[in-house]
Amino acid sequence: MAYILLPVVALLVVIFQMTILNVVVLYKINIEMSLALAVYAGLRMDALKGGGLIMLVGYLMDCMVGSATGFFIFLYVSTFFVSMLVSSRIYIDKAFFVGFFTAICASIEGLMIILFYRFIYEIDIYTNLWTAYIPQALLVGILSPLFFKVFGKIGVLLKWQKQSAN
Amino acid sequence: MIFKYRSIIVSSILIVISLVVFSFHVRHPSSSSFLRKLAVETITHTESLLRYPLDSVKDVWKRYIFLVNLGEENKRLEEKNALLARQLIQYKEAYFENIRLQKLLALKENVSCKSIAAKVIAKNQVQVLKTILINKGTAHGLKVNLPVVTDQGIVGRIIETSWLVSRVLLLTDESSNIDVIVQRNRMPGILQGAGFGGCYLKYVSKTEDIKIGDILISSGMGGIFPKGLLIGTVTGVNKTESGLFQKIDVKLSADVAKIEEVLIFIPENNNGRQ
Repeated sequence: MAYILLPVVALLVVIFQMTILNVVVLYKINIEMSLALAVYAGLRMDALKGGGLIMLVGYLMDCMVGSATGFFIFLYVSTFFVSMLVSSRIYIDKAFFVGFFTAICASIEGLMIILFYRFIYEIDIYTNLWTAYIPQALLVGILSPLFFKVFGKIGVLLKWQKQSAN
Repeated sequence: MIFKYRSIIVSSILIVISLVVFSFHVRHPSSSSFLRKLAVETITHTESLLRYPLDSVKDVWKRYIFLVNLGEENKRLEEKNALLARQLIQYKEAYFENIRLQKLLALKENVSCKSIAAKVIAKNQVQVLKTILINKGTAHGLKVNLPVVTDQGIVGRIIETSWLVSRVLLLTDESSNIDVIVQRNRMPGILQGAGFGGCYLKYVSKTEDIKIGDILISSGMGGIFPKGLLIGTVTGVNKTESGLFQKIDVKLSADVAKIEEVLIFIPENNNGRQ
């Protein structure tokens, strides 16, 4: 059942991010709820369900943003992978650490976008790091504890929490 | 043992898959797949439904503000109207003179266009690509590389089409480059998007005379934008930086952040176009 509902959740997250959140901030800044979901999936979800969900969210973001298919999938799956590695060493539970870790992941994502543009499309967009990606990272970091609570509630309903290795 | 490393193995496989997919699409950029078209159509139409109540609230607020400023605005517009009426007479004279000269030189415009109006249904101006989505697609005769304009000037070109939705790459996007000329002295240059900073004009030598306030129009080169469409105004010229070229900042005449409706030009004789 949880697997069947993954595409629905992915679709809802992308639609919510592209409409409600964008309208709230008057299209001035991007609140990347989908990235917070990638971090959440890495920290709290089962690898198969989390990975599947993040691939779907990445694909939908590629479709909506207009980037080459695989661009956001790679960014989100990488974030998911890093979060999963971190979760095996540290248990991130406090709101401050959740926000801090998500902000760092968002900053690295911004840096990766700049590097992709530089080496693949040969376009310099490094000024966007200060005007767009760092403010976006701070914002998503501040809001991520709230997003984590929402994802947690959905996770309990859909039973997608991480299983113990024992 | 395998269960212990299951998470790492699954994530690694996913990363490899995503890299392969991305590399393939970067090397072979093709038209949208069925699945991608389906995703875009589903999300944009759901988005339109959700945005309807939000837009209604915004409209009510706008009308209230409009009423508050109506008196002042009316007076200002009357003054502007008188000025424009005088200018219109001058332009009409120039227009008729132009027609006479065109007939004399037999330089009749050979590209005839029809246009389609479309509504902006989504904006992605803070994302990786600065694009808008419009509510017309292949079902209405649209295809990739058609020019998109407003009454204020060019806003961009279509880069992706679906059945009922198309994506327009805005001139402000860093990957957008178009061939332009300065109206005053016919100096050619390339206009590149600068993201949040608007646009800038490239490859204009430091010896060339470019002034703040100069108007840029499309040159007609490149086969996408017809010649003579308004693009923007020069807002800054910097000759002090090192290198051969000037740094010229440009403000687009169309405010891309506030676009609500657009026109798409479709050349009637489409065979000669790229």
